[in-house]
Order: sequence, then structure tokens, then C-alpha cells
Amino acid sequence: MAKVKLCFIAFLMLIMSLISFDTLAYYTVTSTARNVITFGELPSEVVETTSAGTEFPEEGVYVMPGDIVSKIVSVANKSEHPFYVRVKLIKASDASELSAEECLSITTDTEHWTLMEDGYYYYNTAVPAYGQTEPLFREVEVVGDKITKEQAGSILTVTVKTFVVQSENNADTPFEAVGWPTES
Amino acid sequence: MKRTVRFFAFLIAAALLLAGAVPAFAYKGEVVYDGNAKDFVFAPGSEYSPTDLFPDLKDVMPGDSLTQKITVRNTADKGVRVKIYLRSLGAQEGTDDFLSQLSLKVVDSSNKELFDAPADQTDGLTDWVLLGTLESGGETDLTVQLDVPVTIGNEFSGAIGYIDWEFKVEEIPIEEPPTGDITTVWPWIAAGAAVVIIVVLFIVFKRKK
Repeated sequence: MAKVKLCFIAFLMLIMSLISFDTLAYYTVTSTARNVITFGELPSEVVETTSAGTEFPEEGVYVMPGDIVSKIVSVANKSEHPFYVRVKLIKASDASELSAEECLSITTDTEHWTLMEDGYYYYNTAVPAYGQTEPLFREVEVVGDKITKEQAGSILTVTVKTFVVQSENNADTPFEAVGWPTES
Repeated sequence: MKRTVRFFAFLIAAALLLAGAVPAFAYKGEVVYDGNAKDFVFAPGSEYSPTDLFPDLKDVMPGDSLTQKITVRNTADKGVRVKIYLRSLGAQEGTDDFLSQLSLKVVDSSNKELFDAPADQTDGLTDWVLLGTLESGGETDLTVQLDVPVTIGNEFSGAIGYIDWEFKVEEIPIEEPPTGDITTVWPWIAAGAAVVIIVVLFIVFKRKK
């Protein structure tokens, strides 16, 4: 009798396994996608050329009192986004008795650029993607009567520091724009 | 000559209209279940990841609100129905600082919200979520919306964030529609054989008794 019961159980198990036939046919696969979000950058470049169309030499030029040096300075937008730009001009001298502020005279373009109270020259409009500003200035004058013979060999520098901020999702003018990078 | 000029003018106008109808730089992400390879194919990928589904979420800027469409498709042979699931494994370590600044939303094709949280979280995608049961050739869409706050700091300039999404497929064989013939005979043969064996065994045991 026990063997009959055993056979009956075996029969039931067989039927159960046949019923679950479809369930066992399920096939599963998993795979991972690595998604990426990147934050934009606003690369810019100070472009310095001369009236001859050549690049302004990196090592600088020798000047004499009274010289007017051709140095055309503008800012290029190297990004895919338009931006506002402001510039700080810093004049310096390696001789303590020589005041760069007095020795170097720069006439800036007041049509496209505006000097604000914070000391920055603001370009009046947004610079388009891969566009370039009008030059901030075209020449630097070495004021003759401020330099003596004893100061020969001194080094005078003009540093152009640029700060840019996106114009998209920002104010309508650079003067009201927010998010300017801080000066380091 | 006049006709030719007009024809070209029409062609140019049509081309301009068509160009205007296509949103600039809109690329779809694609998740394709390849039934033959028994694996997923992710497209289009990017220079950062070959399985990247977010081609439109690059170079984002403060204040941006961007949308990424993703299509999930079953290209398995006829007779294979699939259930496709998704879960998020969250942000890759080291990128969560940046991603936590961003707000991400994911909705399915029925506009059901699957995820609404900072992008470094797993939120509603912590556990497997069924995206749909797709017949062969069937597809469903996901919409990802990314919002970048205007206040996000310059310190994140050039930052990269990685979000891992895991997809799972379950293949379900579709039963053939009845045609009048019994095409699936093996289960019946097996059941019949089992009955015969049991009867034989029963008779054998009975005789032994």
C-alpha cells in the first residue's frame, strides 16, 4: 500500500513539474548603463595683436620714453555659450621709484566698453559663442617726462585679467549680471 | 528656366522649414533589448561612457532646464514578449557632490513619475520598476528632465557626474493561438507515459502481494 502511495506522489510531482514548465522558460538579463551629466565651462582667451597684424610678443618689447606701442587687446569666447566679460587692467613696474600708473597711458574704447565704479571694464553686450569683443584698447603710450635715464632697464607691465559669466539665464545686461567669478 | 528657378526656390524653402522643425542638438537615448544576443544595447554613448543615455545633458549651465528622451525597445524575434525593469544604482562615488546640486525627474510614457529628487539619489528607482511589457518590436518612452539651479557655484565648472541605471529583461514565451491542431504534444506524451508507468507499477506490486 505504501508503494502505491509513493507512486501517487511521484505522479503528482510529475504533473506539477509539467504545469510549471512555462514558468521555468522565463529568461532574465540585466545590464547597466552609465549615464553622464557634465557641467559647462566658459573658456576665454585674451587676444593681443599689433597693428601689423602679428601677435604681440610674449616677452614684451623694448620702449623708449615717448613711444607709442601698438598692442590691440580683445577677448575671444572659446565656448559654445555666449558670455558677458569684464576686464581689469593692472599696470605695474619692477622699479619702486617708477609709477606704472603715471608712465603708461592707455586710451580705452568707450563705445563698446564701460569702466564701472568697481574698477572693471565691462563689455556692453554679450559675446556670442566663438565670437570676439571689439578691442578694449589699441595702443599703450609710454609717457616720456615720467621716466628718467636712471630708470633705463626697468620693466613696465600691463596685465589684462578677464572675468566671464554666462549671459543665458542671466540678466539682460552685464552690469546687472550675477555670478561673476571672484578675483583670486 | 523660370520654372526651374521656382522649383529650386521651393526646395530651399521646404528644406528650411524642415530644418526649423527639428529641434537643434536633440538626441534620443536608446535602450534596445536584442533578443538574438540576449543582451541590452545602449545608445548613443558618449566620450565619457559607451553606455551613456544622456546625450542632451552635456555642458549644462546654471539656470538650464533640459529634457532627455529615452526610448526602450524590444527587438526580440516574434513570439517573445519581454518585461523590462529599471532601477537606479545612484551616483558614482566622487561625483555625488556635483549631482546633488541638480534636480532630476523621470516619467514614463503614461506620465507616471518614477523619480523626482536630487540627481545623486535613487528615490523611486531604488527598487526595480516595471517600465512595460513589450511585444516584439514594441517600445516605450522615458522622459528625463534636468533642472540646474541658477545659484550653482563656479567650483563645479567642468564637473562630471555619473549615474548608473540598471535594466532587467524577462523573456516570456507567447503561447501560440489555437489552430485546431495540437502543436505542443510533448507535455501530453510525458503525462501519458507517466500514467502508463504508474499503472504498470501498480499491477506489478499487486501481483507481488
